[in-house]
Amino acid sequence: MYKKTLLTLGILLLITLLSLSPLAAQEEGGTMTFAISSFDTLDIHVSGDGNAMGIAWLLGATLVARDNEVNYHPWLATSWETSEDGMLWTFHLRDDVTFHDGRSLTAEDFVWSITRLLAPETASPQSGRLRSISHAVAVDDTTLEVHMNDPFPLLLEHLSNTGVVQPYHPEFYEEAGDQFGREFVGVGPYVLEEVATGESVTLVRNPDYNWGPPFVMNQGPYHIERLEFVIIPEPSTVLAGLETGEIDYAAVQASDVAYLRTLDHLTVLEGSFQGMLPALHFNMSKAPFDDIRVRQALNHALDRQLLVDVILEGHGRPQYGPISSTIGGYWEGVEEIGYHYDPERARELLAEAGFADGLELEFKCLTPTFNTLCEVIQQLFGDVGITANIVLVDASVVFGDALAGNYDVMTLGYGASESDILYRWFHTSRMGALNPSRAADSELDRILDNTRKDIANRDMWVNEAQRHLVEQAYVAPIYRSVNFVAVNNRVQGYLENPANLATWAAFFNDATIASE
Amino acid sequence: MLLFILRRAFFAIPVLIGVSLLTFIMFQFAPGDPAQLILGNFATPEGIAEQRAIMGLDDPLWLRYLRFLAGAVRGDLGKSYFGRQPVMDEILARLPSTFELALSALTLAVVFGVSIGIFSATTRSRLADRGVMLLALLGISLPNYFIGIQLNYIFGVRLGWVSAIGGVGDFKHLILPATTLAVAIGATLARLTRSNVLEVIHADYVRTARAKGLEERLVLWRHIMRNALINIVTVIGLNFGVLLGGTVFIESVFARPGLGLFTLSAIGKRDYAQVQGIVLVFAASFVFANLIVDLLYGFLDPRIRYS
Repeated sequence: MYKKTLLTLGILLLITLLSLSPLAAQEEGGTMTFAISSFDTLDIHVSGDGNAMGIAWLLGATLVARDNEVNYHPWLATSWETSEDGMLWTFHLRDDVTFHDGRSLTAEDFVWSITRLLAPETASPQSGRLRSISHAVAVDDTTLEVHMNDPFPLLLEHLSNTGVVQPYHPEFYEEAGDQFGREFVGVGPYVLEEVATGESVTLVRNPDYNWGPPFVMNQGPYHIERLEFVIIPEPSTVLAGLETGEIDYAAVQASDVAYLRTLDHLTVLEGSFQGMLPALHFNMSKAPFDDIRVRQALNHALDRQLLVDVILEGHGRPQYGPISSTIGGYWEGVEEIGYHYDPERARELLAEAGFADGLELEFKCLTPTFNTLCEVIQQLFGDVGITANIVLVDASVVFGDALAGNYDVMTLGYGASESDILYRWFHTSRMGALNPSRAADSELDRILDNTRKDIANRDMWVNEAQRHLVEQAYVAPIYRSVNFVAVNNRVQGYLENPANLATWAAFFNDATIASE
Repeated sequence: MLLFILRRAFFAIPVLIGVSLLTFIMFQFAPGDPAQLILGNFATPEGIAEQRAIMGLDDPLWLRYLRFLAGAVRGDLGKSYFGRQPVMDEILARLPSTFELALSALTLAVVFGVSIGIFSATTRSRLADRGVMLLALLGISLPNYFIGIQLNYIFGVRLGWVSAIGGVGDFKHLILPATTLAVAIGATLARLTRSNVLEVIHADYVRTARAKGLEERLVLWRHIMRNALINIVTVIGLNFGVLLGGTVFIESVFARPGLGLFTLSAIGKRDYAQVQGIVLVFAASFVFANLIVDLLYGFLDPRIRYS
């Protein structure tokens, strides 16, 4: 479930190398065509699709904006403050922002949007991000109060990082009825022109947009007149479109990169995955995986560089900790204390644990995504005397099995843009919803609780959580993959962002496109 | 004739109810908790319990089936897990595009398949016969997405005659996907027509027709083809499923916003509400197609009608 959405999100969000292409003449106009693999609805409260969320963000704006160094800047809110106990946040809104239909934005719109997002009837897959919010109150047109259930250090992160908490237009929502999501009115730099079901989504530039966050190149209207997002699920068709120039921007597969780089009219950008995918999970509720020596042995048996070379054709890096180096809060110490390839040590540890004569285990493998990966790992395990019997499981089964503890060793993982994923994935209270390794570790819980409570020392606690997770070896992270995006050279002046970010919005904030 | 039609149509009803029951049961045994699926990465155990209650997932199976059936009869297939659109609307929006593709492909397949079959059976050149049948064998054997990708590369990328990214719109958008989808069925029909024509070409009543001085054209169409058609119609009916299955790949390769592509994306997201609706609609259209075949039998062969 995670993989598809998160990979797309990852592709959207991550673009390496901070550099600006030479400034082109600032010409307005042109159409930029994106290939997207899927789309569901612009009602992002209920969307399950990374592309849809990316498009919706171009139609809206959020209270705060986040830059590449994870600083938060004013966007629709000019300033904000938080009470001492962290239970109340007050945002002061701009008074000059208008919806696409001309109506002025007020704090009431935010209250409505947050209330709907959190309502159980909405059943929003995003609501869990904001569980800590109790309710929102509009003090006046430009003052928004957000009351919390508990102090939540990542509030600004979740308000800024996805566009989910953008203001909806309540009257428009009522008017659109069940067409809402195919129709949309927001406050963003682009206006929705048309959703052609299953076919494409077309946006046109909002000439009135004048409230970009201060750190972006261009705070005014974007330059490119039309954006067309065409739904093309088949990679070979995307490739054909890039080749003929009918597609200006598309995520592409690693295996096609070498060929695309031979084409003069394309630039291939590289971005890193954020999170921990894939990783082997060990079932703590089953012997012998409750024995730390066995878990460490399995970790030492993995030649991660070999896996990068074989599976990713070299495009990627070994990963030793539970979050990737591309996430804020990453602790470099994991590379030192992590389990490097050491088959001798793996055999020793197994012998100590009483498996000198070998160990047989069931290895559940997500198919078809990780088939080859699992076969190579099976060989590596074999080298240290572990017989891994691969059982291929489909995406629909993986999660049920994981949560029910119906496995020995399993390929799983997550995409995530922030370190709170550690709490969500590993905290004991999460068993049944997540926590697939079924670790019930009170020391880990104490550390994770502190990442949410002791905000002043949050960085330290996040480091501590990473250290503890590596030491206990509940999982064996494998590698961090790289995503690729091909852009037609007709597009000029876009930002090649480092870690995170940006979404398409910041990506071509100041970009122009040459007409044919 | 009317009685015949009504009787046949009546028998379709229990089949449809059976289909709906099977579809429903199938998805009850599909692994994964829909509430967990909907709430995703950020789900909490309390949130999941709350959602299960809202969706009525804790009710007994029979009650949920009746609810599903009552909805389906009124054309309400529920709302998709992701996006929360009425599934029926999502299907109806995509139906015309798939219908257009399937109908064009079927027409192409019948026209070319049957003509090639007749040519092959009646030609005096063994070489031409063998050559054409070799091509037909290739057409049956090659996977349609392979043919699709090749055609797209040749005509879209290399020659630039059509858009390389497919889509819908005019005839130019239709020709490649329809051709691709038609190949396998056309090839099957060509082989079948050939063997059926060869079977009856030496029959007594054909010799009689010739002997009484009938024009060769009339012999072919009135005596040979009319008898061969029964088998051809049967095969078309049976291939309706192949046609629907084919749209899944073809619409994906040519980025056509139809039901096939919708199926693929629904399965990819594991949106069981969508998949369930699609399976039901596909199954119902299969039943409908076979009903039409049944009726055609009666039309082609009066003996069937009165038995």
